[in-house]
Amino acid sequence: MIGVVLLVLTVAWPLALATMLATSAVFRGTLQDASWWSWLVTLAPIPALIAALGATQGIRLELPWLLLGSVWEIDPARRALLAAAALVWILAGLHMRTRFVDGTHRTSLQLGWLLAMTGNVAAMLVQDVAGFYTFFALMSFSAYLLVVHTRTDDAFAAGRVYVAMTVFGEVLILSGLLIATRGLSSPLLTDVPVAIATSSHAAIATLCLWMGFGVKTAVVGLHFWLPGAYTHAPPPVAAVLGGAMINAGVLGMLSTLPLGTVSLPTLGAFIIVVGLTGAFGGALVGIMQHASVTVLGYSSISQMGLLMVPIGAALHTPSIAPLAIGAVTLFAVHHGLAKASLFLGVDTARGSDRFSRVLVVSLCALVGASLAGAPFTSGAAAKLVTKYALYDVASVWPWLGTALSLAAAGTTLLVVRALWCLAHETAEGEVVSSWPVGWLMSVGLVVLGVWSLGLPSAAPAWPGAEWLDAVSLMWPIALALVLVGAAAWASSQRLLPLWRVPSGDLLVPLRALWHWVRAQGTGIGRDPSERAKSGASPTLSGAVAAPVIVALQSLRARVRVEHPARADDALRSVAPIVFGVLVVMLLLLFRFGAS
Amino acid sequence: MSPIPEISGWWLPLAVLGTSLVPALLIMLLAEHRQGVRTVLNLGAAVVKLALVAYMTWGVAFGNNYELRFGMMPGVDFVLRADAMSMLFAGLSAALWLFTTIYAIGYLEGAPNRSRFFGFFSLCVASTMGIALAGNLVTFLVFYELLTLSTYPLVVHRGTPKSLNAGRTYLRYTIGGGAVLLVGVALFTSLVGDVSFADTGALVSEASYDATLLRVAFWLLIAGLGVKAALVPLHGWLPIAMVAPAPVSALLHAVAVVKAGAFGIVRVVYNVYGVETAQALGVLFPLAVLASITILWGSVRALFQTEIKKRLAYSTISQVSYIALGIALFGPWGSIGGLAHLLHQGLMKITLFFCAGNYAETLGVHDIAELDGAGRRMPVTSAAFTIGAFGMIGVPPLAGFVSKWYLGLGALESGMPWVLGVLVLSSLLNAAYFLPIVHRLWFRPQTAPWPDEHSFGTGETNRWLLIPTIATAVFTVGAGVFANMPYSPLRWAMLVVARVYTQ
Repeated sequence: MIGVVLLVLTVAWPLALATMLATSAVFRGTLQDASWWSWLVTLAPIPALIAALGATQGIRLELPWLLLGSVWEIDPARRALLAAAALVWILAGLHMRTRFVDGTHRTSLQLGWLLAMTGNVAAMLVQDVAGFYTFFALMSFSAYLLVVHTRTDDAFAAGRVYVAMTVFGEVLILSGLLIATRGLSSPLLTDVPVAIATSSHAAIATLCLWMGFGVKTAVVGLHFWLPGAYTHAPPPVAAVLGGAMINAGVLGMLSTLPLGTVSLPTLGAFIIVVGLTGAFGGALVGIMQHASVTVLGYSSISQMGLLMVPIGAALHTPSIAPLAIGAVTLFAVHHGLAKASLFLGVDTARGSDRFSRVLVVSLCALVGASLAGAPFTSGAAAKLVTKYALYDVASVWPWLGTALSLAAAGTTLLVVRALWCLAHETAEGEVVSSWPVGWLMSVGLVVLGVWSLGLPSAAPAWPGAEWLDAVSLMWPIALALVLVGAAAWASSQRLLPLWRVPSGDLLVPLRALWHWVRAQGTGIGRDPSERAKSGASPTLSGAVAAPVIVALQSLRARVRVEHPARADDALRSVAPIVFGVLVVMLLLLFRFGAS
Repeated sequence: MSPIPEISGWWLPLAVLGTSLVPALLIMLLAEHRQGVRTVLNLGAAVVKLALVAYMTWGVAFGNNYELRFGMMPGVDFVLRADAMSMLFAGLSAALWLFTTIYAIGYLEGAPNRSRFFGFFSLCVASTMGIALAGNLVTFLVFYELLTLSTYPLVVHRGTPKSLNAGRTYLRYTIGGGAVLLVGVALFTSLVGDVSFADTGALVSEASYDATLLRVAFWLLIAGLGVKAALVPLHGWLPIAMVAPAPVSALLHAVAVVKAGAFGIVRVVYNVYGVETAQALGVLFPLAVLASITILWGSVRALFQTEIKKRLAYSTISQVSYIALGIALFGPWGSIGGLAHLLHQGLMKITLFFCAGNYAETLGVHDIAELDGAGRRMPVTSAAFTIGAFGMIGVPPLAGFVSKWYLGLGALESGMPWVLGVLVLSSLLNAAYFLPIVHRLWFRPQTAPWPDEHSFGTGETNRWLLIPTIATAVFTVGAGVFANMPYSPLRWAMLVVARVYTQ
């Protein structure tokens, strides 16, 4: 009985709070400014946390009247993700209450917060397809309120890209679900992988679903929204975006992709290649960024790229699916908590004086070490479990394990770069005196290794227990640190130019292309009468040449080569060389792996 | 000409018609200043009709058919009959008429010629009820023409040169369409005889008729109905008719005219030809193509509109064709999607038009560019608009999502997977022309004073305008969230579809 109540409250309680807030806003009330109210908003995910931590074992709630017939249940596989999501929301909320100084547009922020959180936690306990899709959409669209919170032009530009890509992802998911479940009127999520396995359109359905959820998890090519959204949203919002909501996308993949039910070798290999491209590309572009939040955003792209590897491998070789799903879950939980903690750390540092900033950056370094996979951290556990899961595909891709280690070197570089930026960023706004409770708790969680929440039973007992494991964990980090040292030295000698890629990378030439197409008089998005006046019409040769010209021009304009003036940009200056080394090593691995 | 009751309850369809016809006459006779009496008549009739329709729906759900039949000419009967399909449309009309009446009373407060307006308004609903309850093609045709004649005075109600011009275009299209429909009905009746609508089609043994002539009759009927249903290229009148007052636009787009055309197509495919016969004749595929073109064309044109009502008008062209598309997708899922959308589109579109009217009446805003910051000034209206817009895009859990889900299933079931592409593209286009408006409402600051602001005491606008807007928005949410409840639009569509397929 209590379990049922908890399940209902998990969804209904934050929804009820959102309704109250909206009602108050209509009647021009001041609920949003009340202190007790902000406690309610902060602690709204408490039922979700309790429900996830075990009070709802085996309870299944059938609501045939809801949507197309809904089923709510917390199964063991999702418990860890739900608990982590609820924790991230609570900690980010605590941080927002105590530390976050921006008090503008409070109603809109709280409304977006409550609705996105409802969608986030509900998507993790709903078992039917329509219900999952509903709450996923609620989360995605409500998050717009959070992304554009500052109401600056940059935030709106980021929000526009976010919404456009979200709509794109939504229709892809819908198409994938429809193709997968054809003939089922009110399917459950568990029906989807089974239905895909027997479908004659397995590959296309899988691709649609992977790409649809890939928008949320920022798969390369669908990631354009992420750098902008993470950079221009307030850091606590970036914490829930990158720590909790991103995992709803991961869960979508784990629940709907036919992992273990059918073998799709080509698609699986494709996903691995795209994943590794994201892992290395994200790191390459990331270390050339200026703002700590942007670097952390690219780190998410890089980490999610890594996460695609076990998913692709499980599509390729169904027998590893149970291990891969466990590894992905653990990885997602670990990454979510660590990333959320880092974002909260950024906000804490911004409100700190010079002295406490050193402390903040040091604690962030602890969390960063976990992200990089140093021994005795949740990151190490995630990496080892992932490698363990991939053991059976080693005969197909012997270089995969080493590639993952190299990617860990990239992660380390990103962490160093983020910390460097954080330490040197000029303080924004006033110094906040209150204790950063939420952030400190998140650091504690990461350091103490809450990874045990999601640890599948198949994982090795304690990571680092074997010396070999410690070596395999440490050499990427050591490599990265050597590279950092080399970079610092080279930079101090003014040997190398500085490289910079604008935040949003490929979005920049794409946007330029869009403007060029509009300028050519195709009239897209313009008033028809205006088009008639200008009289310009696109020519075929122009249309063909346009993308090339624009891409070149914009690259020339945007990828600036500056001369090294400050030593703090050391890492940036050697980025191409660092990655040249990594790529050469990877190529060599491919070569030796094949022989 | 004496009524010959065949089943008990023959008086029910007549009473439903009467609840609009009698008030129509009384209101037209009423003096202009008798506002109280007029309001009581209007609302009383709407409530009584809703109760009667609810009662009939309940009976039909249990398998009763209420029929009234008498000879009109030798060989041709006048038939009013309540079957599951007619209740789909009658229920929609009765419910939305009540809301539109409330809205119109508030909208026209203090305006001239209200007796004329409400008289024709009631007549228009009577025609809609007649269309819903018509039991054969000839009866359908009678009410279809009556609808044209009763809506014209509403379109030109303001009497400005612009609206008179729009009225002329409207008449030209609809009378032309009516003429083509008449030829179609005549051809079909001369081929097959005067047959009543039947669940699985009136055309029992199609093999004994000339297939080519049957196809010609089909396309004549569709062309005649397609004018009102605004199928491309017969849609030209709809955006021009936007000059009508907001409640009329709401009625035109959600219930009466456009829906009458769509409902006619439903009747022709399911209850005249029978969906299996239509499939055998090979007319469903071209209909699906036509509907798809209309869906995309309407959405693309909507993208370029700068006036709120114009954009909504092109959106209607696109959305109403979902109904025709669902019908053309052979198989139960597509049919369920199309029929459910008949109701869902009505709920969503009437909400959007109510909102457009609220902005115009309260703030004097007609252009999309003037909407910046309206969410702060009119939060409830803007929330309703947001719900309607997201529903149109097909975002769950709103009504539009349920339609799209079943249409998508239908597309795959009928072996036309390209239709899924049309649905996806249309959703993207819907988002592209609705989301910028939502963004303006909530996220842009107000930059200029409202063009023509009116104050209505404490509320954001006149209560008579606000209450129907809230009600239809709530229904838009409810139709999606509670889609699986008995008597929801979806469940009723399923009930109908269970009766139109023989296997």
